[in-house]
Amino acid sequence: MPSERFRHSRLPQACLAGLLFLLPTAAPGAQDLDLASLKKQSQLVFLGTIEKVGAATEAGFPVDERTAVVRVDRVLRSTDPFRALNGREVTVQLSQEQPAAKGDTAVFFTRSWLYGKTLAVVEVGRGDPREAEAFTRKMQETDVKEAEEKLGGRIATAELIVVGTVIRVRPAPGEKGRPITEHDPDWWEATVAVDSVEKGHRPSDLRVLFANSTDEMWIDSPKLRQGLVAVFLLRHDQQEKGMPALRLAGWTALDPLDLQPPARIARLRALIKASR
Amino acid sequence: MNRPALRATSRIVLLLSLGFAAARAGQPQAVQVINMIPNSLSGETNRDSEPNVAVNPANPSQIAATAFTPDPLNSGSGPIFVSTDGGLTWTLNVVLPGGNRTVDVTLRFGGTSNVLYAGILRSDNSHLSLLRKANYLAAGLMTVLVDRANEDQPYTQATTVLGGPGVGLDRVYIGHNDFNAPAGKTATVEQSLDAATAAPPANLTSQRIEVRTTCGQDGPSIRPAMHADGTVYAAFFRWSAGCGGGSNTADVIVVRDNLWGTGAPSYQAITDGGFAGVRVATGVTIASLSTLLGTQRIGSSLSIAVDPRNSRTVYVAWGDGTTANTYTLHVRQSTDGGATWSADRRAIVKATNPSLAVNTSGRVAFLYQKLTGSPGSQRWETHLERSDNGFTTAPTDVILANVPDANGTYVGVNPIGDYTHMMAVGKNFYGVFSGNNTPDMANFPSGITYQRNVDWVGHVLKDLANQPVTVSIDPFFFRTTELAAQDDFYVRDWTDGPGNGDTGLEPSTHSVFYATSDVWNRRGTLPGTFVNDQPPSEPAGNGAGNIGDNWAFARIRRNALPVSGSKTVTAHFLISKFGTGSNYVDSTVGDPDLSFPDPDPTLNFTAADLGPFITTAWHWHLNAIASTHLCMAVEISAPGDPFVAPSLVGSAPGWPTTDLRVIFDNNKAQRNLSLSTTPARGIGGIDTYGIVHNAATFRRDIVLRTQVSPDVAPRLLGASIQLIGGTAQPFRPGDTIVIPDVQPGENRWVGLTFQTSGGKEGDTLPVELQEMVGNTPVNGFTLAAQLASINTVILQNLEIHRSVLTRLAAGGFDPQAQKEADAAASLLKLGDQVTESQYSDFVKSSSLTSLASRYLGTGADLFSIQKAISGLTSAVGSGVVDQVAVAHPALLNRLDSLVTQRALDAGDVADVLQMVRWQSDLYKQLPATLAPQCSASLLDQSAAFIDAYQQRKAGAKDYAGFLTPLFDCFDQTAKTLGSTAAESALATLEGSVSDPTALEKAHRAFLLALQDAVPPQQTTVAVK
Repeated sequence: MPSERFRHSRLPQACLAGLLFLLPTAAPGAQDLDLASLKKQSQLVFLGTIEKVGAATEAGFPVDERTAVVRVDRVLRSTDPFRALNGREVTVQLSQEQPAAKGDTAVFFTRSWLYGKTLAVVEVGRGDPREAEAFTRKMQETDVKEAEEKLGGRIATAELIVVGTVIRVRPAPGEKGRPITEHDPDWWEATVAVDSVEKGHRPSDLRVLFANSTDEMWIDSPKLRQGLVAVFLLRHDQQEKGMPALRLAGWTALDPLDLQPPARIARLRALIKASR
Repeated sequence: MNRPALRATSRIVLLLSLGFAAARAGQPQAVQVINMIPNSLSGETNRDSEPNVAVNPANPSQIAATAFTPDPLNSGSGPIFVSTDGGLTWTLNVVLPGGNRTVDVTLRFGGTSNVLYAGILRSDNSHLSLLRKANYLAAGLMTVLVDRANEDQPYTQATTVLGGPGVGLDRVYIGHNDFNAPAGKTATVEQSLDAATAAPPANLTSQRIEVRTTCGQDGPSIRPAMHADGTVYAAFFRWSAGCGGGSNTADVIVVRDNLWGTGAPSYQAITDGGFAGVRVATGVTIASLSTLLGTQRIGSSLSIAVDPRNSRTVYVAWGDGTTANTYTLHVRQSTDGGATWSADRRAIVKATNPSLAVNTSGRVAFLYQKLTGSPGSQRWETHLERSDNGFTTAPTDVILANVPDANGTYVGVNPIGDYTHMMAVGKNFYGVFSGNNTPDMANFPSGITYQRNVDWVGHVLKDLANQPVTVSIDPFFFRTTELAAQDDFYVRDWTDGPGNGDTGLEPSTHSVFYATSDVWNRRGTLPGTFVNDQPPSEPAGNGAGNIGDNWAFARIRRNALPVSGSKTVTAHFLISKFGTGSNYVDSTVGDPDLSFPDPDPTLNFTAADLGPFITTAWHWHLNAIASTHLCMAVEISAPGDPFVAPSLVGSAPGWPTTDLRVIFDNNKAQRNLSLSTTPARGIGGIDTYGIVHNAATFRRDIVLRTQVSPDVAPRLLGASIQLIGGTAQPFRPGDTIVIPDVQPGENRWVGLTFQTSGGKEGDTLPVELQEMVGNTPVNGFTLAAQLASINTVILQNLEIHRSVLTRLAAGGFDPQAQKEADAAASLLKLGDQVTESQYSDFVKSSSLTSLASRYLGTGADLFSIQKAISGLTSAVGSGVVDQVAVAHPALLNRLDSLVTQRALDAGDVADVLQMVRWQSDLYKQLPATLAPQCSASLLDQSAAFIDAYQQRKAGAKDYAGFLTPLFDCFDQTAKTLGSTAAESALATLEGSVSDPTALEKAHRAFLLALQDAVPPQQTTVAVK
């Protein structure tokens, strides 16, 4: 154990060291970073303080000179399970480009790596801690923008967009000779009564194929049910999902974004217009 | 032990967890079950099903596993589970490309490479991707080796070649259902022969294993299984009807390849009705994939496992049945490489997700999930059955989990997944299954550990904020402890230096185990001085008196300290006395060339002893036999930890048979010994012979390749090599010698002659003869000359003179031989004082040449003894002692070889087991129309004798007692085959029962006659 005198004498030096390191290596601010790019690469963004370098929060985590234990001072962006990380330690594999020392505080942009008793993440970028609020605000803004862009992408590639009501569902007529597999989409066919056509040409008889399977391959695909009223983003003879040998010709809505609530029609129309 | 979260859990959770841990303290845990969800994911409610697990054979504390678990941070890539403590705790590592979660995923480590391989179906584009990663813990995605569409259910297996061709390379086999295959023959194995090092796509190739017509495709499950000797099996369902939907009519088919999947054509080593692949079951009805057993879909349940002790022993499990109520898992066994199969050894109704594994002691484990109860209150019981006799009797059964068939928020048809997985590493089993995660200890009769937060009293899952979490499906890892570490004693196969050696892993990881093991020979009673913690083995001495006295040692360790009690470990040494293919003998065999006067040494390990301890010097004596190469082995046994049968006794050292027995059993170790020979100063040389023995049970060509290091080659002057009975040819490194048509048990001889250009004392000039399979050496022996002072050479020559003449006298040849031996012994008493002139005078006055000539007689002079006599006469006439010192042992070595050859011609008790195995193989090959009724009984009795011999419970002393009751059957067989030669040989056999050596000879003669009379076989046996 160090003596009281020794510990007292070290304290100011430690603080000084923290300052000395922090100031000359100040991380970029919100204006300087390519936030959109960083956000795409990172899933956990937090304001944190480096507590140990060359260490990890768990014995089983790999450690090298760029591994650090970082205290999460505030989660700025995450999925639900990890919004409660405030005050906890995580392991961060620091990027080679950034200096790191005990006591450094920064906004850490990280991507997922290990989940044990604690988390280990890989740093993809670092920001000035004084800009944490600005980062948060800008990420929220880009979240909205990205969601719109993603939806806009589905709209742009959709060949037919209608508002309608599912009036009947039934197993799709099977095609002979298709492979049998546990990942069969179990094609069903929904007959949709079209209320309005927002993009494309009104079909005389709209039948939408959907994957009724709850297999892992299809569990996220929309399951259409009788009475459903929605905006349908449809594509014909899709090439994006499932084994090619298992695909059926026809209209499909396979992405969760391909079904939108009618209440959003105004916004959707704006996006459709923008996509033209 | 349960490990509560350090920071996140509430006090009540911590207390409850500790209470649970205390309840289990001190209890032996033959099976441990662990909920794999990490603590940081305590709030998750995913369907974490369809699990798979891979244990790193080079480090079983490293384990990887998979389930339908997504990346909690939605990175766009999927995680695997990783453990660094043998599965006690788990972490997710995001390494899988292709989406936040992965559809199908199986994975496996290489055998010694630490490389992790995976086969997946991506969730983003549904492609099959085959992957690898050098460090399973490191950040970053696995490398994509292959990415293709229209392929289903990749099932990954991997290993590293431990010996023989391709040693050190990772071999990967991924079964998959390839809808791109032509003509609906979709069962496919994707394989790579150098998966760790080859650049993507790692030379992966698609091997179509279906050759029959199908109704349009095979079933989804294609399961490969490999043996370390290069045998690769694959099992699949051939769908013959039902491809249009509904129930399928299927054959359960097993294919085999003997050469790592490279046979020509591949996977066609066993046939059935003219087609590659044997139908284990034919025309079974299998419910459609949409059929539900409880809430779980069924319809493609399949598993296969091969016994690491014997590649011919293989198990398959599959499910069939028209409805859920009749859906039944079957387990069958083959002991002839998949050619024929037993009836059902197990039949479990209303069960699915079978997994089979066999450990290094031959214990087979069967994992399955069985639905119990009535609709509305049904439960999944996860069973682990284990058997030591291939399920011929009721197995030991433990229930790992008994959980509700309730699936939380998931309402689909695949809640627990389409498969489980289990594998064996060493003697222990490791497996994984999925099920309902309700935290109720009553649901886990074998015990349970959760990492995620739970309230055991209220049976409630808790999140990181201590809020209740709804139940869901979790993956559960389990491992068994078949042999507790404190009961595990082992002999190292390798030591690289202090603190860096074999830790008892099965299989061990170094392919050159025979040069680095902890069994060694000394020419005295002290174990020698260790350098770099490596035992100082000495070449064996051979000859009469103290020339042939040797002492064996073994260094023994234990894996962990026990709580109390002492254990005694017994070491049993074995010797293979000749070169290639010479069977191991021990004290039970009664080999006339070896004597083992000491009892097996023992070591006592107290409760405080881990070792290492060295056995006391164990005396063995080697008579003056001609080989310059032999192998020593040890098999240790302790209470609760016997050596794994089969013993090495009766089998020849070499790849793959006994090499794998040594590598896969840490109670066995082997060291190859070389004998020093007697060159002279200036004009020294070597004129010696190696014996080549066909230890197989079929006639074959044996191919030997000569090999010598570049620095030695220029020092071999006038070197020639000769297959005895043939013509000598100039020795050129790399040349091959084909020894044609060698019968089982037959011995051939290879002679090597060269002069040296001189050098310093102690120089050794080794020449290797390697047995080749294809382009790769698989076994071998070394003939070596060692340069020594003329005094040393003279003394060794006198020793050999005494030894060889003693052998002649002992054989009753001529009393003069003993006088010659005595004269040499008398001169030897002078030790270093023997002068060159005394030696020259001794040789000049010796009657060696006349004795040799008379011993040779009028028979064929295969060893060119007359030429050696002339050489010695000429050398004596020259008066140059160095020439005498070379010509003298040349004649002695040739004479000694002739003595040995004649001795072996009289029979060899080392071959007793081989003869019984050959007998068994011949009777199995008899066509039904020619097999007498007694054949079945004979085969049973042969199997029992082989089994007892391999467990060292029977030896040569039991040979006559075993054979005599079979004479009637032999007689019937000879008559049925119309073989007068066999009848004549039988008469000799019946008259030889009093002498095991003569009996072996007569038995072999009978089997040769039988072999000649048996019609040619359709199936061929691969050279192993």
